[in-house]
Amino acid sequence: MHTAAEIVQKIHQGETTAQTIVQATLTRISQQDEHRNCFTTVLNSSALEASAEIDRKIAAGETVGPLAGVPFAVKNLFDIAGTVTLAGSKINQDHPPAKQDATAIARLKAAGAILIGALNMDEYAYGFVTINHHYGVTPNPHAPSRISGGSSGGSAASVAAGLVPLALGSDTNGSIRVPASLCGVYGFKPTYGRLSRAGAFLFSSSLDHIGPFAQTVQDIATTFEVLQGPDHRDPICTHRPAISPNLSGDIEGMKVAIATDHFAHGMTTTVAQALEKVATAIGAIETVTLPESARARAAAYLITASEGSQLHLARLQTRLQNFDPATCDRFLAGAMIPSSWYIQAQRFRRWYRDQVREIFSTVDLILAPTTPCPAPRIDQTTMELEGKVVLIRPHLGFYTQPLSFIGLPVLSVPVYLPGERPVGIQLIARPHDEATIFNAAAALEQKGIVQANIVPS
Amino acid sequence: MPETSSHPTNSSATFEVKAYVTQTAKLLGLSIPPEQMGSVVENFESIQTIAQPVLDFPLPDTLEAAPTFEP
Repeated sequence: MHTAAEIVQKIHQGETTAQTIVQATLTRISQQDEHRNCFTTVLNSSALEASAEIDRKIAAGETVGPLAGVPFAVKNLFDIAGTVTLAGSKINQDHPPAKQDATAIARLKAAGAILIGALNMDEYAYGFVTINHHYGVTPNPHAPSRISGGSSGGSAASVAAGLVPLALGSDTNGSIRVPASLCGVYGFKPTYGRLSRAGAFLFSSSLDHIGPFAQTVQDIATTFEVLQGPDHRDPICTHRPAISPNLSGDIEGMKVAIATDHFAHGMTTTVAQALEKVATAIGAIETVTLPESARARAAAYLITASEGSQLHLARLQTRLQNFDPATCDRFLAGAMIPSSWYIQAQRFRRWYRDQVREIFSTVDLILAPTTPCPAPRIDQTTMELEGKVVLIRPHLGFYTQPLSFIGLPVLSVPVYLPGERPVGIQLIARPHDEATIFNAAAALEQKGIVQANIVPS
Repeated sequence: MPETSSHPTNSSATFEVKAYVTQTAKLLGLSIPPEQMGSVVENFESIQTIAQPVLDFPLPDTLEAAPTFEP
């Protein structure tokens, strides 16, 4: 399996064709997806047609985009024209097919990338495990008895398994970063509002982001670059100018600190060692405290539960028996949150944002773990951390939730320690400063500290 | 220091969660099957526990939420 950049180069140099790449991708999926369970839809004919069109354009000397011939797949909450958008649910099977592609899909296609299909997720994105009652479990490609994480579990696993070099997911409280960590790939959640969410079936609009998964920093950066741009279809999509990632890896003068307090507790030894390895390589000695981060996590929960439950209220009223048992009772309880609790959480969000802005006046990049542990077993419900027994499912978002709460850009970078399952470390920058993250990640990748290991088929 | 306000909730000792969930379900038009009621009540109790520190946190009256609506 090649990276997106390698595929583009090989096609450009005439060593292969888009049709060959896409055919090989479809063959791999047909051979492996029965046990990988990443895909809920595979678009065989449209993918082959699109690849033939790319090859035709190249042969005719026409301009093709920076991702020409690169296969990609999307979490099944993105609208694909002509396909029903499931959002991990059974209920949405009754919806009509989407009339147009989500903006993110349209932009990737315009860059020459080829849509292969839609990927498994937790129902309505409410979960960190991708154990879906209707569409099954997506096992971790590195250890099939373990979870891939969620809710974008199919996206992370499809890249880790080498089925596709690129995938899109969404992140409300950690749903890109958590599965990226557990599957050992890069997962990027840009600044809130940076990328258009139009045509994505949302969960909690105040907190929802979209972003890519890939095997390399370069592929994440290229994908991010083509996804940028204003979009009238998404009311929170930014009008700021697009940025061009700098991947020089020159981090001279970059002030990097490690998040302490909330972010320094409750992790396994493997995670602590991975964090130390990254911190040492990048020269992070100082620590910074993001104050009241536990409260920030709680407030994020209240906003998510309130908005998510309100979005699904009509379905809860009429189709209760068709919900996934894993989400149903949480949605019901969330529908009953008093409005003053929700508004207090939204006001606290601004308070916390202001505190963290202050911190970014003294540092450029903050490090924190992505998940408290490597991938847990599929049947595991609790784990012991620092002598305390904790529920795994909610705890997986312990370090990610406070950051998406205030929309900071974060890249989860994969670290493989000898003999251990992969874990992710979050590279966190000030709002709209994705460039610093890319440069730091490039430096770490060049030094061989972070890398995505793809599981051999 | 501007005036601050926090919103402590009643303690769960005096608040009947099951009664609240039962009544609110009626208000919202939700028919919760009896076998699910226990779990929904537990989930609401869990939300109450999560909410408490957020509600206890004093915020100045001048601090408004950050709306994104632009007419």
